[in-house]
Amino acid sequence: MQFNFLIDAFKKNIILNINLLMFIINFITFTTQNSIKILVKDVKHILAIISIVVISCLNIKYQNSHTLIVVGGFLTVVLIFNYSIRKKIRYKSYFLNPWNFLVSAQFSNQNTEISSELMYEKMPELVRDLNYQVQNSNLLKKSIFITTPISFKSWGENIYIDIDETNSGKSIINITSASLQVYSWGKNKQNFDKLILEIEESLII
Amino acid sequence: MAIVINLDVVLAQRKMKLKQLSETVGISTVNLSILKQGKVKAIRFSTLNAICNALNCQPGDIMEYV
Repeated sequence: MQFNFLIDAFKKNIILNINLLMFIINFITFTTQNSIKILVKDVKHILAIISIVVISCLNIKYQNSHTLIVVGGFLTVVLIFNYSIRKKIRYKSYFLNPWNFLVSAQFSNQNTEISSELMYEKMPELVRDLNYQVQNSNLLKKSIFITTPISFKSWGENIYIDIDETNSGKSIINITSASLQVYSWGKNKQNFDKLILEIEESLII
Repeated sequence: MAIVINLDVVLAQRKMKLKQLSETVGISTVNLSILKQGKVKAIRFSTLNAICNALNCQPGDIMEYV
């Protein structure tokens, strides 16, 4: 009985289910490529799938209710809230919280031969070349907060860069890219790759 | 790396600051600092030409193989 109800719900909500299918395929491909540790990290993505299924089913079961309108309204309010605080550095912990359901963040780091002081000075130059915007920088912490522009292909991401000095006078660049969506479709990794490529290219003078 | 950059020596001989060279050559002081430390991956002929022109020296004065 329960099973038939779920199938019925899927059949009636085709557009939602195409999105869900794409999401599941991408998720499975991603997790199989990146081993089990990703499964733990991406528990919120599993929760997202469950939420979509529940919303889909509720919408079918209670056809006269306004489940989708309520959920859509909630998501819109959250989205507006996220965009309004997006460029403020004091909300860094909010955007980087791994349990923040509506933000997807990815952390990567890279070792460089250059000292942290020089890398910190160089970073605004690289960011400008990539058409990103520096929102905040802290010389003492050697941290830079940049945002990517909103475009046809992107909702815009927040990128937090922390430059650490190693004992040998080299530096480690810690980059965390956070996009304002439940699941990252690769933009966070693209941002990291772009930044690293730009750093590498800038070493040819 | 076996290539040693002697830019600081040449600059000292010419009594020129890195900032002055940066303004003459049109390369940021950060990039010149990285070059001075020998941390660059490659140097363009145009850059080398501009530096040699500004410092009135030969490429061999700026870098040497040890």
